[in-house]
Amino acid sequence: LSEAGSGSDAAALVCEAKRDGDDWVLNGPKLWITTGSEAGLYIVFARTGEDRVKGISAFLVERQYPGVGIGKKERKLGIKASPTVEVTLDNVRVPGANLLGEEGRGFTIALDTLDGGRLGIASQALGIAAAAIEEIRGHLADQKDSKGRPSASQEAQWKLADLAADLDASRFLTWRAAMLRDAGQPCGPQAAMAKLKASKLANDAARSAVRILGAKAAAGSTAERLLRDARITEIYEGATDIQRLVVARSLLA
Amino acid sequence: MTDGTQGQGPSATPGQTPPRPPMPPARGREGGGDARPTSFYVAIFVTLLLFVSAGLNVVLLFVALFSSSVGSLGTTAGPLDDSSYDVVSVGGDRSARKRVLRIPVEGAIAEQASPLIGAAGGTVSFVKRHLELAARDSSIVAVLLDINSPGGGVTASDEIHRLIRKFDEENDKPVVAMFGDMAASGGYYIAAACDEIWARPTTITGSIGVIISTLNYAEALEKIGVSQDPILDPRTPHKDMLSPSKKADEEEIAIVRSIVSEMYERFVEIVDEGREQLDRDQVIALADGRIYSAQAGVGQRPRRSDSRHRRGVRADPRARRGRRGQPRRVPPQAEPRRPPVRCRLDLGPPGRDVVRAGPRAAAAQHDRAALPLLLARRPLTAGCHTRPTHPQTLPTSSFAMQHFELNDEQSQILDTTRKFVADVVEPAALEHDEHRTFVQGSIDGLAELGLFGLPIAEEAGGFGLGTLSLVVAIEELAKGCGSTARLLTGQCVCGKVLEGLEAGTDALEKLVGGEALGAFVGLEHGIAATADGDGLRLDGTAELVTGAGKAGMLVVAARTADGEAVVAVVDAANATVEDVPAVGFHAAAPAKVSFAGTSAPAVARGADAEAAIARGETTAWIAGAATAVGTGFASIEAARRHTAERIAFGKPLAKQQAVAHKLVESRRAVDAARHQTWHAARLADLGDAGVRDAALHARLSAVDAALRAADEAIQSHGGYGYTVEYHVERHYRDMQMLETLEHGAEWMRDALVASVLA
Repeated sequence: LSEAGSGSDAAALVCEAKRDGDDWVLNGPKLWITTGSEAGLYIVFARTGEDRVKGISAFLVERQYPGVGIGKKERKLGIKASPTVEVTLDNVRVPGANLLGEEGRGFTIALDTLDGGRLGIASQALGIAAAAIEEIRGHLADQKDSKGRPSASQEAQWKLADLAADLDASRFLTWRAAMLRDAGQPCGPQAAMAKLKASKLANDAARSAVRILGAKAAAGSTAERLLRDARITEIYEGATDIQRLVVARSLLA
Repeated sequence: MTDGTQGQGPSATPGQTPPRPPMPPARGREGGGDARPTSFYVAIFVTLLLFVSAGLNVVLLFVALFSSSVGSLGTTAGPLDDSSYDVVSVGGDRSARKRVLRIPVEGAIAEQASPLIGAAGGTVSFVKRHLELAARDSSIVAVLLDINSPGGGVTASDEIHRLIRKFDEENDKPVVAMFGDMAASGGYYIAAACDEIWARPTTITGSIGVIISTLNYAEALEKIGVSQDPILDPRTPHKDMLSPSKKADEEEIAIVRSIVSEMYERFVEIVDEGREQLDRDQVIALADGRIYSAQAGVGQRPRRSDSRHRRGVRADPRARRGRRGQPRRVPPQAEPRRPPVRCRLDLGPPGRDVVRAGPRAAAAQHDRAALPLLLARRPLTAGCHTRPTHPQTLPTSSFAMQHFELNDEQSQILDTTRKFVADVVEPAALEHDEHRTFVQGSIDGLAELGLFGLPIAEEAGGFGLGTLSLVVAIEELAKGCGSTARLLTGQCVCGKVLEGLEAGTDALEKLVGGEALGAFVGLEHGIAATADGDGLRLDGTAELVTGAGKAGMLVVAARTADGEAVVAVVDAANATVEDVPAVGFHAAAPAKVSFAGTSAPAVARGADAEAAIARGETTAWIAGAATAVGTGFASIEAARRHTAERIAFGKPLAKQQAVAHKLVESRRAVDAARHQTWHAARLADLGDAGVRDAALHARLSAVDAALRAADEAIQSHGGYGYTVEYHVERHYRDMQMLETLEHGAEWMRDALVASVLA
């Protein structure tokens, strides 16, 4: 979906698909493709018409189609074991049967995919948060006074409590959205809320872990990795501001 | 030459507090050549004063009470030993780029505390320190000497007089005296050095004269049959002169009178020299020791403005007026026709009621009238680029508020560093960070520029340019490369620890000269020290020390088992140093340092070591805050640039309120932190005890603000922010790491508990 010039504003994409007989010919680079260099199959959103939203269609593109190339690999803050690459489409001929759904329905498909994707990222964030909280909990649990009572500082304990409460809250938000989705009901705003809260929590928890575990954790530790990995959850599958936009629009509609 | 013990005889009699021997009068005799024995002054110091006679103290008390109850006579300043100072922003100039430094001179003028004359002491050094500040800080365009003093010691008064004249000669900054309830005798003496004198109608002044009063109870002793029989060498028959137990003979009275006359002559000379409108005869006529009310004084006009300084201007109209842009209005003939209530002398438009407005407003008015054209200064630009990001919104009434303008030296450091960052530091930053390689080129450049000696005292071989200069340099470096800022911090922190330690002289020289890269292993690492003969054995591990991977010298703060602090300088080759994959400051050689029975000489122990470590920690916190401020501004600038260019939803991202507000909030927080940082740096440079708390406040605020700014900058960049090319992820990591260093944020809050509860 994403391109160099269209991220949050996904409908601004410019990758074009031109009908040629029964086939489509796709042109234009795609950016931020997670695992793009390893994938065998892509779903590509491309412009088939002028209309900003209704001019977008979705295609199944196989890796071995001539003209599909892998461009620059991103050097990133985190999630380093998951390659993020540019996928280039240079006159890629795609059979007509590879058009997903109907022509011009691409953006609707994209938004629906994003609802599910956001639940995925929310869940990913929950996992990062839980791991970071566990790092903190383990560290504080080691701090005991002579009678075996927890002796960690209040600042640290209170933070742990807040994070644990937020983790449950975010988890329930995420589960609610997932249940709606399983029930086949619209879950856009609920998924957005879940991702909004869970991704913030993941960052808060990971930062707190580094802060509480101290300088030792700032070098080559689990907490440090979580910190770097957490940061993407506020960015991809709709940045935090986009989640706010979705929620606000649904409330004001 | 007799020694002090013998000489203190007369003043050690019951009922008198023996004063400490003062220095011989400095004026004109510096560097020795004084033929008089010290004991002489010791004997007579108690009474050799430029003082209004004792009865006047009652008047002073009355006036003081009156002023506090009526509340119309203006403010009184804090105690003299308070090293804080008031800075009065120039009226009407909201940018507060020009300031007037107010120096309160309260009570008896004396360097040594002396209960006998009601002197808290320290007046000379207090004035000296403030004049130095005024000379150093180019934003200070004038000095207001706020005098409320019945007089004081001859030497102290004369020394202050000399300091003011020296300041006046070396600086193009007017010194204005403002009289409070009383500015008599010594109080007037020092005012005579000022360019102008302003008084209030109720001021008591004058008392131009010198007095030596002796206490004599010889007759009383005789009545009760007590006698004190001094045994003197026949060659020193006057050794017991002025003894309270012996009547002074004619010869001795003549001796004392000649001294008093000599001092008096000097006083007259001072007044004559300082007040152009009065010739010597007029001065002598006025200077019969009497006091004057200010109104009478205006009638007599002894307090006219125009020092020799201004006379020089008259001789050469280009000299001072050229700078000010317009000649001063000096209507001497108009003066007597003015209502006597206005004791204003020769400045400012007519019709202002100085009395009601109080001295501060008076100073402001003075400036409105005379100073607005002074020193058109280059504004300090706070951002990475050329836009000034400092909003300059200090209210004009913010007394004692620090004002953020750099003096010429600091501006030069800023310019030099900024250029160095653009040419050398920033272009290399990304690659070194990504590959975790050391920024050798930047470090060589820092050494070449001499920045390693920036905050180190001149006596210790540094440049003595102070902590604020370091802050300025660090902030700029951090905008380009946090690792480089961090390395300069380490070098200077080591330097500050060793500064003034005899045993650390060689090491300090190497640090300042750039022969060795230093890394500071602070107390937070809990390194244990054990006495080992004359030296120490060190044990323990410092998990993360920036710079340690490339440092040749480790300055280690440690404690012995019984809690004594020690400072050791360790050759890095004698410790186990292991590079670590730190989250931030990749290019600053972050490493783990282990000591296992490592032998090292102690360069300081006990109180010396505590002080040295405190010096280092304070510097580290302030420099850390500056690193955060620079990083914060760099993040904001990156976000500003990106959001201005990036088009989404049909317009630049920056046009979205939510995005723009992130920038606003980030800048607000970083700017506030910068104020705290500079404030802490200024306190450090003033030697103020409040520096520790201020440094911790700045450090916490700055890291919070910078983390937020970097976090929001990543967010504003979207996916781009998550990649290395856009710098903001590096800023984010650096700040995350900084938060854990130098004891960490929680420890810092703990360290602030005691003072907030006090």
